[in-house]
Amino acid sequence: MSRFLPSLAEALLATGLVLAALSAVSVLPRVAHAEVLDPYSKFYELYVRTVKLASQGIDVGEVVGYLSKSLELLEAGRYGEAFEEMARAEDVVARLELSAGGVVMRGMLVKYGATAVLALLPVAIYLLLPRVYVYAWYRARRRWVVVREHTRR
Amino acid sequence: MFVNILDGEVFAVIVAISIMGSALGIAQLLRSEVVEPFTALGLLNQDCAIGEYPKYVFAGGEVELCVFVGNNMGYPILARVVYKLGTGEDLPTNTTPSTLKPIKNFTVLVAHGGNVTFKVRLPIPENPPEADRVAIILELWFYDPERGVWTYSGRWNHLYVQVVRV
Repeated sequence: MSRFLPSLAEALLATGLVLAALSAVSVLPRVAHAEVLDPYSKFYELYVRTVKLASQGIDVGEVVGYLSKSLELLEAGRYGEAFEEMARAEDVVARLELSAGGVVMRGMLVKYGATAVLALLPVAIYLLLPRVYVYAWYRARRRWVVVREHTRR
Repeated sequence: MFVNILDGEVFAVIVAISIMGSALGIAQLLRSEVVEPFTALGLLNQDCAIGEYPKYVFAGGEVELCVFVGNNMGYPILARVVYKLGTGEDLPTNTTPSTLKPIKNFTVLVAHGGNVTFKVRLPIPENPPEADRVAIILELWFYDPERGVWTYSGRWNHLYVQVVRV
């Protein structure tokens, strides 16, 4: 009877084989999923992120260039090169997303700062123009000599 | 005292002009960049120029044309030009696309304020619609980034041609 029972080493080996087979099965679907991944899904994802950046007023010209190229390659069925272009686009998008807050804040400061300057311009003209005019008027005549009319005779 | 030196009426005119300039400048600064968003679709001949469009096409052959897509939506658009072949009764409207089955699509990415002109080779089926003249229909669709679906833009062009059956 004991010859039909597996030894400890055989039992461990069998368990190891079963676990290896199970882990292989659990990995297989993921690999298969990666192979059948829609090549356009990554493109759409990057496009949506680009639109979000553009709507915040950020210059996305560089990303659009990469995405246009990748789209051409996707349409031509050259998926490998298309993914390379998309990787470049993703790098730029990630960089822009990181700096987006600061860029938006700077843009707002410039915009509302310029608005405030423009709003104060009429007030500044009202207060300063007469003073500047008087200063210039006196400066232009600073070498003038005032002479009494009757002393000239 | 100062106003006596600078003539009062002249000064009033200068201040009025400064107020007007300031108001106009502020309005320009605060208005949205895109006041009226729109897209554009144009159909050009094989030399990418307006006019001298082909009048005859061969069944089973191809016709070469140029397509212009313009974008002023405020963001880059992912545009798709959808080619369909039908008759005058199959034309789309400004709100609904043609019910015909698309024969070919052309997808381009157009930056805001930019445009793209590209050549297209449109296949004419072996058995085109039975009509004196058939309509080459091009519809402009764009990808809606919020909903993640392709949406008909309401822009379309068509060109009537006679099909020569060989």
